[in-house]
Amino acid sequence: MTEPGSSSSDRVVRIEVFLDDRPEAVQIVTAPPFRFQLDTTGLDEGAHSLRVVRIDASGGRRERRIPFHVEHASDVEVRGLEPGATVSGSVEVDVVVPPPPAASLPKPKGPPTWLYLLMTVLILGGIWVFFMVVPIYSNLVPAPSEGGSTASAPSTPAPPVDAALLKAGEQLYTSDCAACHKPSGEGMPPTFPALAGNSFLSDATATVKRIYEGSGAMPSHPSYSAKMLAEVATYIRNTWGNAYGGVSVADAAAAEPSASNTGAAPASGSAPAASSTGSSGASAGSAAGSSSETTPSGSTSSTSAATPSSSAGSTASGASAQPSTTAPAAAAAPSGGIDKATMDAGEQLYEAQCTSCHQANGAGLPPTFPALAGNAALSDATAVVQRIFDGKGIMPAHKTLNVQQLADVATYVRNSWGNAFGPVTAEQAAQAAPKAAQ
Amino acid sequence: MYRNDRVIPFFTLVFAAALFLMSYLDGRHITALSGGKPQPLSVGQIGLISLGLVFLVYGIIGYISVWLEGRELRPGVHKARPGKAQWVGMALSVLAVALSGLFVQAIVHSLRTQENHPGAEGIIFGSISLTVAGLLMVYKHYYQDDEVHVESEDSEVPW
Repeated sequence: MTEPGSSSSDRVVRIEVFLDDRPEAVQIVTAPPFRFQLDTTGLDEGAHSLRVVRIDASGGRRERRIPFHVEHASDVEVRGLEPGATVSGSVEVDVVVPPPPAASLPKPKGPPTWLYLLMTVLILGGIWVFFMVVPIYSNLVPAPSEGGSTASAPSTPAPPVDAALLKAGEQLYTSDCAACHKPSGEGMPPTFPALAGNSFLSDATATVKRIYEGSGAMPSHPSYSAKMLAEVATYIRNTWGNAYGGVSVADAAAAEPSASNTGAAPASGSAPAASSTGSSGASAGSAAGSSSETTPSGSTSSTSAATPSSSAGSTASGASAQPSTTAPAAAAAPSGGIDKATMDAGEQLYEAQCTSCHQANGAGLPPTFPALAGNAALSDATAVVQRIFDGKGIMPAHKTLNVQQLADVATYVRNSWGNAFGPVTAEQAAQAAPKAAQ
Repeated sequence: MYRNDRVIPFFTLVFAAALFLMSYLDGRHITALSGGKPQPLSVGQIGLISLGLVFLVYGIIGYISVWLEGRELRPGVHKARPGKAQWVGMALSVLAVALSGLFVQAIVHSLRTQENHPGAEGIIFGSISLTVAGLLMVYKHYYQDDEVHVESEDSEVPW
């Protein structure tokens, strides 16, 4: 009800509401808005009347009576069947019932709060623990660039890094180590541990010893000179976020006295390594006449000293002046129809680039690195050459090998450790790997 | 009655957070391998983030459903009670207008100076979208009546 009048005498000061003929008012409203709730739930069904009395400021009273009808069933709305409708057959009727008061219904219960918290902690914490426990991720805390956790690293500043050793070490690493430890240093845990962030590398002496002597699946590198050890150690200690400092040749020689010293390494037949490290300009090995720039192999044996020409030729991938190791092979004694020089050259290449995975005895490290001894797949000379040149899966490609080197390695692996699949000529290798250098 | 549960949205958001965490840790690992230099997102990170965003949106939608419809749907007519929601609506409307003006100004500034600030422009536009979404939610919750029907199990809905 609203106030229609505007004069002060007509101003409504009170509204009294009476129900039916009851003497007492059920509602009294003294201030606008003159609104009230009429509860019909306590009324009987049937006719009723509402009497509204308006009292003005001057005392005048006016009233109005409003008849109405109460039907309690009206809170159920029926849709589809109108009163008085004529129907036949099946009739679909919707009954719309107003919702009961919310307080009368039980509230749905969910899992307790502590269960939410517990599951959240377990899920997120599990992921964090996974990244910390799995070896490849264990270096995240602390960050690997912060150095190792051993006593030798944190208190003393890292030794300076020789850029030449670092660069030469990268070549050696790529040729001899990357197959297992990966170019990214992630390795293939658990067999081949990650070097990135590996705190073991903080110990320079232990690192040099591990490279030289090997351990478990890690092959030894007895042909490495002290300089080569220093190069590789410097590289892996200062790459992929590692910052453990350089390793000098003197440090490497001190750590592994049995390794040949810098000057002796190339003379003992490590011409390929000398050439690879010769890019640093510091190796006396480059004076041995090996002008190879690409073959970083450093693993040579004393036999190469006995056949220096074959050694030089087999590793001179970049030098076309002496592309063939078979040139002097005429002087070499054939062995079962296979040139000894070819086998020797192949052996040298194999030891330099293949033994870390396939092992010196050809047994490999199955299932990751298959055995070559007794491997029937070697019977296909073309496939062997292609596999060596192009690689496959984790087997790295050897694009730097020329056709003669490919033939040498293929011949060696096909005719060693009891294998007798026959030689592979340079012509066959050239056909199998047409992109290889002649 | 049909349960509009909060369990699934909650764990969806937890999974989204887990995926984002994995992406973050993976990025740290990649950064560590590259000598501490920040690297672009890897394919793996992009995949994790994408899946995380899917979970995030799904979880947010779930919580919005709970807020709009309640945890349990009850048959009947549900009248909307605006209460004081008009103030919220007015505030969101003003915010949307202000953000729109800011966005236009940013575009004009870019055209004049030839200096693009895609990050800022993206944030402003995203804020506009979220504000409009909030307005729609407020309207749906406070101004639109609902009616919940009871359907038999063999209703037309195939699931």
